[in-house]
Amino acid sequence: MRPAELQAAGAVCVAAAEEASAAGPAEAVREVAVLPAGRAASAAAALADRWEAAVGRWCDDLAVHGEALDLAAATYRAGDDDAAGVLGGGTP
Amino acid sequence: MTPAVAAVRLLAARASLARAGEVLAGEVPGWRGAAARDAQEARAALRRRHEDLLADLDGVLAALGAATLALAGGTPPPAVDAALALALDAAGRDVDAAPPTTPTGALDPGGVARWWAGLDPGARAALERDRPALVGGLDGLPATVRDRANRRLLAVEQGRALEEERAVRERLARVRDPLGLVTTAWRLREVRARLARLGAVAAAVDRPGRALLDLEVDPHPEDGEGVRAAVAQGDVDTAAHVGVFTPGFTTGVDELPRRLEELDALAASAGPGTATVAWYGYDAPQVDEVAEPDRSVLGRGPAEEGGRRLASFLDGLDAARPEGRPDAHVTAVGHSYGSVVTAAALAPGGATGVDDVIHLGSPGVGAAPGRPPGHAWVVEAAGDPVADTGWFGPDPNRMPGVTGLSAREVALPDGRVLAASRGHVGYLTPGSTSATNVGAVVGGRPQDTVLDRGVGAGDRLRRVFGR
Repeated sequence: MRPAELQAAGAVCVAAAEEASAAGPAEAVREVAVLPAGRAASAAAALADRWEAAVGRWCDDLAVHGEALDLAAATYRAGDDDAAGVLGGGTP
Repeated sequence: MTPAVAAVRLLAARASLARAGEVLAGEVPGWRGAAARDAQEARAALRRRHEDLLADLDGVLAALGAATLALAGGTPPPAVDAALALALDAAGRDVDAAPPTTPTGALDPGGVARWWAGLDPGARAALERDRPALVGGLDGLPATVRDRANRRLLAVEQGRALEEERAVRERLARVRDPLGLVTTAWRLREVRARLARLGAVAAAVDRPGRALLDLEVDPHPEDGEGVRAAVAQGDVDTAAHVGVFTPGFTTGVDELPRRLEELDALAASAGPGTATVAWYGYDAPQVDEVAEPDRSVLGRGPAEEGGRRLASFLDGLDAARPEGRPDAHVTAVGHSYGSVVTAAALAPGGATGVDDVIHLGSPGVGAAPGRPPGHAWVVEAAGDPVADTGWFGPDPNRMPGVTGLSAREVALPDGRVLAASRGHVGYLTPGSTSATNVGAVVGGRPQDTVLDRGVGAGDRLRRVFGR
């Protein structure tokens, strides 16, 4: 496993999370109405709030996943450096 | 907006959300072992939640389509309205209910502490050297490690900002067109503001006993001021008592040096073995954001976001403690909007290691003060209009289970006189009754406090007008 690939996978997740958070399914429905001040209008606003929270949480967790991959890559890289140091030190 | 227009927009949003989920397909090539398995499980959980979200969107798309057809076909609008309302009411529930997961659990402060403990010294040193921003920002790592990493990061960021300031200044000298002049001058103002903020952080940590526990720099912030930081006075990993102060509306790291002076006095007043932290780790709402729904001081947006960050920081205090050392007695102190942030951090599901909470000049903290009776405190000074607003819920000085601490002038038996606090900003003024009371709670000596619910003219007026 190459840490660079892990790091890249993490970066892709973080970028995708940013893209998805801008996607805005909540805003697409927030102002929908059939009648002025009708029941659908208030239901749409409430749904928009629920979607905003749900999509936001998913995006946050996707970003956290990406950051965790990045963290894992850093750990592996640090371990490799450490091992390289040990091996290099043992070479005549 | 008609159902037809909403359907078109929702279709575009769905496509974008679907694309984002594609990054979860497959595995990271060549990665094996326990961490890889954990990562796969996390990705599978995220995929399931993503599929649930898309399915929910599809249901609403179908309902919008049906409403459009019904209206076009002459169905009476009230009937379409009722049918669409039913469909919209049913959507968006029970989606995204799964708890967040990460491959190694490493971003939970306890997991971070275990991960760090499992690394050999060489790996830790390499991480500290190569990834100071990562190491400095991880709640759950020892304070000395974070301090070293964040000081390195601070030096890097100051150098970067200085270089940027020089480049923008030179560009400004060359620009001739009016638009370029305006944008470049604005850029120079931004860079200089960042430099000043980083300078304030540097001044705050340039004293014996100070530790830079967190530093986050965003050169082009969408929200807030772009520099977040947490500075401790004393060693939070060994102190018996730790007080964590969270500021409110219009605050930023530029006030850290002055705040740390107040917290120094507070720690001295609390007694030996006390460390204090000025936690400026969230984007406090600013004056120019009042009209922005997500960022306004009148809403809970900044408090919810800040509360999540603060909860992680607070949980990191106990997680970072050396094995065998007992947890600290932790007091969370929130001032003004910072009390809303603090309450959000202590809400169910939030920080668990906090023993006491003190709300200073609070505009309300929601339905619960954050800690049980005997451990939830409030201070309301005379002439503090913010503390009488009850904007975010009942006035804390009238909530059951919350004990009021005095902010009035008090003559002590030994002849000393503690000063009264007046208005919204003097709660931690050294030598005041308010600051002395806060020190007593932070120092684990609640029996030494002077109690007073702080009911004043504002409270009486509010009672008359029924709020």
